[in-house]
Amino acid sequence: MPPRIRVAPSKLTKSPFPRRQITTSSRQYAALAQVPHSHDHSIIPELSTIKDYPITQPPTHRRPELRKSQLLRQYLTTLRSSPIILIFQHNSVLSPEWAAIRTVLRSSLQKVDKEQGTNVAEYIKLQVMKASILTAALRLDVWWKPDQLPHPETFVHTHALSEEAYEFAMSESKKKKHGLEPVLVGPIAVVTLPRMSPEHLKMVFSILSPSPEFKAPRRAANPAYYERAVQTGVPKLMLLGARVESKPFTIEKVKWIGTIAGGLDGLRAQLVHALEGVGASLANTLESSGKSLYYTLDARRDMLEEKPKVDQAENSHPDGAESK
Amino acid sequence: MITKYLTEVTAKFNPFSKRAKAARIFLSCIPADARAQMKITTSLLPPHPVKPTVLDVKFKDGKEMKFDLKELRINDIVEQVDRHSRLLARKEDLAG
Repeated sequence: MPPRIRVAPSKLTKSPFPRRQITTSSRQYAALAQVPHSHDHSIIPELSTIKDYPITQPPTHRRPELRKSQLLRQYLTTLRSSPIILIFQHNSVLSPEWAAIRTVLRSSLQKVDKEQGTNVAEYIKLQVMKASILTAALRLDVWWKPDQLPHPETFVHTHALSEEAYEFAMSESKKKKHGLEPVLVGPIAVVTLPRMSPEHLKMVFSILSPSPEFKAPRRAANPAYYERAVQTGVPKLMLLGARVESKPFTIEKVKWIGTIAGGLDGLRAQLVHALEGVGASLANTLESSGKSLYYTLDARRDMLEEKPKVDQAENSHPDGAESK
Repeated sequence: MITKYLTEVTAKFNPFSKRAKAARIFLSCIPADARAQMKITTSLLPPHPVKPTVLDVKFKDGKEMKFDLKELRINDIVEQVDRHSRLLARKEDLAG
């Protein structure tokens, strides 16, 4: 049955979310003109405080319901919340292979969680990202700090999807380099770790990019790893680099983090040990001059105490000689 | 890209260098099930010391192609590989 009210097809294709209308001054005056003069002026809020959008939905440069906008927002959040991000290239990995790899990764990380007594495994994610949007998000993450930029008062909106952020990303920050530009090309997959945990990182390496340092789990320890889908999928993933604490890391550097024995606690123990060693030797050095002074003076006192005895002995000796 | 006639692909690159782009995209062009038929060797080079980026391709008839990634872009590489692959395809067709 056709709709009772005929709607032109052109209107049907329109988005249900109309694009933000920029408030012009004339519109504001029109709104003011509608207010009857008899009203108390204190009731009328100031024009500048009237907003044509809800507080939770500030205006954006691109329409917020678009996939691109949401991906940018999501990537930026991921970048801000993950201290370690491993960047992989995926070469034609099939969906069953992805599913199998993710399952194995999850189960292996849960084992690490049990050993460590942590709850990180479910937040470590292997996801495919669009390189171009990730580059834009990275640029915003590195340089879009409205408070620190000159003239922060000129920015009306400072969220990641705002027009100001877009202008910034397209103009100023394009000249700068954050170091990961050549890596973010082609099909990119990313593993994000929500905590700096070398133990978990080690497991991620041994599953996704096994090497002599990070050996793949044995068949007895992890039979799921030797399923066909995983075995065909893992060689298609290529570790390219990483971003650790907002800095680009090469493979060697990030693998070094994975080799830290005992994880972060182990590193702390090493540091404490080193500092204790330094402290003990420093105390020894400082003490040594005082000690040597003490010994010298003590020896001198002994000498002085012995001298009168010797003198007495010497005095008594001639007497004895005389007596002979 | 026609990958039916390839037997071996060797790529060596430093992912932090601009020249790795073509080699990496070439690897991503290889279809999902092609690894059973051809040998793909990828090695990642460290940034220091600087070594040249390598992309070598071997065909079923024994022809070997080495690409100079300083000059070539991915489209040029794919074009060269396809040209030889088409030649092999024609030969195969004629042989029946």
